[in-house]
Amino acid sequence: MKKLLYGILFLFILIPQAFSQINKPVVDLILPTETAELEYISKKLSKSNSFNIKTYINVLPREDNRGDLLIIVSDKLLPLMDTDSYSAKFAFYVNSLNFKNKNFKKSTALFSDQPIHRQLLLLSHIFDKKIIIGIPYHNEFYKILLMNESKNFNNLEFLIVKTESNDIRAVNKIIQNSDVLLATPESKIYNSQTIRSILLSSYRHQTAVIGPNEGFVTAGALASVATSSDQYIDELMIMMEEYIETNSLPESKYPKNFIVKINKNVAESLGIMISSEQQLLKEMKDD
Amino acid sequence: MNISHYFKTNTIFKQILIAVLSPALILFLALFGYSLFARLNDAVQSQNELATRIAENIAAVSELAIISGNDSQLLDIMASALDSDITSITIFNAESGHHLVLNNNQNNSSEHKEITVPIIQHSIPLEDSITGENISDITEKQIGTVSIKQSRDKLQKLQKQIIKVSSFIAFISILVCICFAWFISRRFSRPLAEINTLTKNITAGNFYKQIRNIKPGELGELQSHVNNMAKSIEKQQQELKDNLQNLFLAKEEADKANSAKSQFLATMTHELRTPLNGALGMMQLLSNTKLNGEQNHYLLIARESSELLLNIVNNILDFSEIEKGELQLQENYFDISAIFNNLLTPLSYEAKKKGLEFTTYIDPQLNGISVLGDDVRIRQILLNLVANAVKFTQQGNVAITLNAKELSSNRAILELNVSDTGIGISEKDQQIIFDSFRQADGSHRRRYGGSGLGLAIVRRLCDLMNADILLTSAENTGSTFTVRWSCTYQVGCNLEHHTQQDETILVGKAVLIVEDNPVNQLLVSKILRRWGMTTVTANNGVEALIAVEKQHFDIILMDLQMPIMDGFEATQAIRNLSQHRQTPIIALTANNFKDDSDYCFRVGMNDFLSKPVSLTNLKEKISFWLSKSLGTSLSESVDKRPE
Repeated sequence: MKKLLYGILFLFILIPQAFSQINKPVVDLILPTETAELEYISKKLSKSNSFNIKTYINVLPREDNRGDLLIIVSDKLLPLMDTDSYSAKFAFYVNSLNFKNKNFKKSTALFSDQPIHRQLLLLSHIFDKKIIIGIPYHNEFYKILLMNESKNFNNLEFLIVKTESNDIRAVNKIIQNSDVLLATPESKIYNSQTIRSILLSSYRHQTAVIGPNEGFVTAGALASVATSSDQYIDELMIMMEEYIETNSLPESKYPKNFIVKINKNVAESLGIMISSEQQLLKEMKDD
Repeated sequence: MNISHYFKTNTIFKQILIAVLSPALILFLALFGYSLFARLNDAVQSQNELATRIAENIAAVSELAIISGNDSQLLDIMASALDSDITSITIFNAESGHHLVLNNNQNNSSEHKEITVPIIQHSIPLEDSITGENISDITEKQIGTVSIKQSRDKLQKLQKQIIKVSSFIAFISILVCICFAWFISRRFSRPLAEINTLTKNITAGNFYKQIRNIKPGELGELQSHVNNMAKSIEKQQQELKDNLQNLFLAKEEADKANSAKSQFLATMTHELRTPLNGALGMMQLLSNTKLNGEQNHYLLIARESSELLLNIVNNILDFSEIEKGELQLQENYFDISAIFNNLLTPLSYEAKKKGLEFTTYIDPQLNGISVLGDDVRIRQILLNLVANAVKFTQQGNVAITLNAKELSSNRAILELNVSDTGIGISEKDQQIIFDSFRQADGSHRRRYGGSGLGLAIVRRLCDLMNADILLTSAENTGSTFTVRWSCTYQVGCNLEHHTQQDETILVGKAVLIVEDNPVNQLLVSKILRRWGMTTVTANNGVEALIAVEKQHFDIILMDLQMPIMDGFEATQAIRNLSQHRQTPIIALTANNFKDDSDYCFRVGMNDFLSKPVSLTNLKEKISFWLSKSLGTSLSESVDKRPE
């Protein structure tokens, strides 16, 4: 009797489980490499009740083994988006410009870069006086974007200069002529090779560097807005669930939630009085 | 050069010096060389490193200036790095392709070293916080070079200073090392040298210089031992010297006493023999006169007593001569069997008188053989032994044998045996029987008489002849004396034939008798006259010279010891006279010493006769010399004939 009762209970628990498994869409998650951070993302995604995750590294699964949805991570895997095997494709943590240039069908993205507006907002909260912001750009998209943004920030004077790739002298000139250098996520201007010279030059001329991401702050930039892994995953899951429920793809977007990162040592070196990360974030959100 | 030979021939001081110094110097030179080399090398390296550091610093600092093409900033960097030691700095900008040179006007050194380091555009890894990817490749790019010309002046100055200081330290160290080695070797070698000198002094007999400065330790012990040794040697030597001196004094005294004794003996025997000669001669003459039976008997006893006395005196004389070492054996060939016969005849009479059997045996091999030796001494040995045998034997026999054993064609061993059946000699007494003045038992002397010199003389004569003498004897049984000696022999007798001389040669010959003793003078002249000679007497040398100048003499008999002028002087004077150059001169003396006879021949005498002269001997000698002078005069006359 007791055994019978256990059996019935077992069935009651397992059958709905089995049904839900069958109804859930299968998601193929392609990671660029195996790192602890990426593994954490994969694990967290697999906990979702809305879909089942299959994780691959660097390549798509065989065609007969492919799932319903595709998630690629980072710009490196963007070419994999060019496939018709999936009903919907999610580009996670990719550069907004790179993604927009490709025009993939049945696809949406969560960008790795922060919106310029958010960086400018951070700037206006750090510096209370009127300052000149030097912004070298390579892609014309940034010029247009910045021109538009300049109207929103009255206390900021914009120095927007077109710059060839790896032209440190041009960047140096901008540094000399401005109070703050706003670094865009353009890797043709800002990369491992140039960053040292740019940072050295900025210290020499007492010019602070803002953005474009957390790595720059570690290397010696003064501050940047950034989105944490958890925040990214949460947003991605929301986007996924939205699609599974509504069957319509959400718009590509910048991450909605963010944090502020400050390099205290750099602030001290440059003699800049700066509030704490939490304080700044709060001020920005209140604004 | 042979190093080990060089090392061995050096003094101890040098050897120790070399032994101490050489390893220290080798070690020192090795360390000095190494440290100097290392220090010079370090100086070069540190200079190079300094220059490289400066260049690297410039390169690091100028990275941004190169990137930004800021030449004025570069010049500032270069100027700040400029050092008195650096002649010029050059920065090459790889992007613009031009050189920027800054020269140091203060330093125009011709010699320099150039160091070039690259200017690198460094990168910083930019990792994506989520994917962990690098935003772009990390490649470091060379954007230029920094060249530094560094003057060698400072380095050379530094090196010179290093060499100077090192050399100074080396010099001081070597000096200290040498002083130390010198001190050590001096410390070891000085005591040894002192010991060396001392032992040399000891060898030379100089004991006064001793080692004053005694060192501590083993060498010091050695020094004090040597000192003690020197002292004890000195003491012993002194004792030895004293003893020697005492001995020498004692010997001198003994010699003196001995010589006095000998002199006394010689004088005494001479003094005894002269009157004895007289007495015997007279008794001889007396026996030729008409005497009755009783007188003859007395005369015989008197003669026997005198001859016995003479024998004793002669024995003493012989013994003293042997003791003085003056007796020398003559060497001439003689017929030993003839001696036996002549000598033993009187003794056989005596034996027979005592009722003893007396036998003689001579090896027949000795017939017609003459042996080399001193016949007089052999006669003496034989006489003593046989006389003793006869004397100490009361009954039984006395046997004398002479055996010969041939060794080679001219050498033989002769063995004389004299055995008797007399009282014998106990074993204890056999040890002392040959000592002088000893008879086996004091009581014997009283019973048998005699001086006790006989066997002592025999023993000494045997020693002189290299003859063995053996005695086998038992008390109351008898004794056997054996004398064995080796001698050269020849076949045929070389006897003097003048014994057979015709007495007629003497008749009518003129004789000069030079003699101070009137008894002897009378005796000799009586005898000679009986032989038909004419005699002239002289009492001394001077009288003799007067006589020879007056008259011709065929022969001269010369006494040696005389007043006014002695025999030697007289002979020399006579020989200076032309008519007496050839005249035979025969010495007659009671002195029986060899010195005398030698001297006789040296001064020109022809022969020598010892008193008491037996008539036979005198007759023989005179006959011999007369016949000889006759022969020469005959040959002279024969030589003259053809003229």
